[in-house]
Amino acid sequence: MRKILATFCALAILATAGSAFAVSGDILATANVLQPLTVSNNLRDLDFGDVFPGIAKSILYSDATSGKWSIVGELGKEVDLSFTLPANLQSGVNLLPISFGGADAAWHTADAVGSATAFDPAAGATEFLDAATGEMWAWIGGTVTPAGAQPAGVYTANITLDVVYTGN
Amino acid sequence: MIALGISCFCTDARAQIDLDPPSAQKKAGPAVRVTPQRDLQFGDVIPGVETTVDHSDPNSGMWGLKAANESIIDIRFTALPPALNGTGDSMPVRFESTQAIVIIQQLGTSYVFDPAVGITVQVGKPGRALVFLGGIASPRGDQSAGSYVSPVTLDAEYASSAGGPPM
Repeated sequence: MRKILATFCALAILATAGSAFAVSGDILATANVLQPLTVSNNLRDLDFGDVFPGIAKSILYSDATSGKWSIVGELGKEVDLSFTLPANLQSGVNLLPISFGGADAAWHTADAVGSATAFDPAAGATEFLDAATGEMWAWIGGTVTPAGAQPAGVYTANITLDVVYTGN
Repeated sequence: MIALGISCFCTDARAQIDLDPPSAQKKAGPAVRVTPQRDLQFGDVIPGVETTVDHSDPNSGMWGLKAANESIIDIRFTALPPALNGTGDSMPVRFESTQAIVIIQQLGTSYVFDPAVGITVQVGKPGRALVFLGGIASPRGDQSAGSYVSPVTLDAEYASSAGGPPM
């Protein structure tokens, strides 16, 4: 009897060659979007009240009729404050000169003008929002200089406060 | 007493089946390795203001590559995200043609490339390279505040035009 042994030898050869297939690696792309800045509109106007021809009148930033804004943004972030300041108030065709001194604006992280820090509104300021509330307050005063023959009337002009994140 | 002898005429026939040709049984070279090393971090982003990270910035994305000495490898980004995802919102991002670079270590050479296209390079000895990726985040003016994230995938393989991995 012839015994035939048949042994099937299956060789499983692992593909150990340097892989021809792609190898991948992942990282993450990340970003943190900050709370948008909001600046109040018409919170309080800068009101010189009654002004007499030929007599200059000043309002301090700490006065009750100074201009006032509230600002809210991301906690503790730095912002630039800048003003667009008028040269005149206007009533019809009549102009009433207005000026702003080096300490006619102020800021604070709370609504406490008595503790505010003064700055030149023409230069602006760079400061940090409150770390706990993200708030800041700004005030502005100024001086009007009516001419001796200044026509009577109600004179107005816009004062604009711009606030932007610096990235810090 | 009967001695029984059994004679066995045996034909030992082994059918040996080779599943792979002999050439595949040679000692193989190393596989390409891709090691993520740093996330691409745009950091604080202001709504309505684009933020750009260059490949040379310290917060650019980074991978390490390791391949066989002096081999040629294809480098591709197979998953460049069109946006980062936040909670209930997404923020567009894009990757411009000069915002990726590969640095061939030991050779000191570098190649800026378009991350949308990829690049084929030859590494030195040892076969190490670094890949850096920048990008541009474009938050809308009304972008919701918060964290945004998305994966970025880098692929690397031996270039097929070089006949496969070196042995």
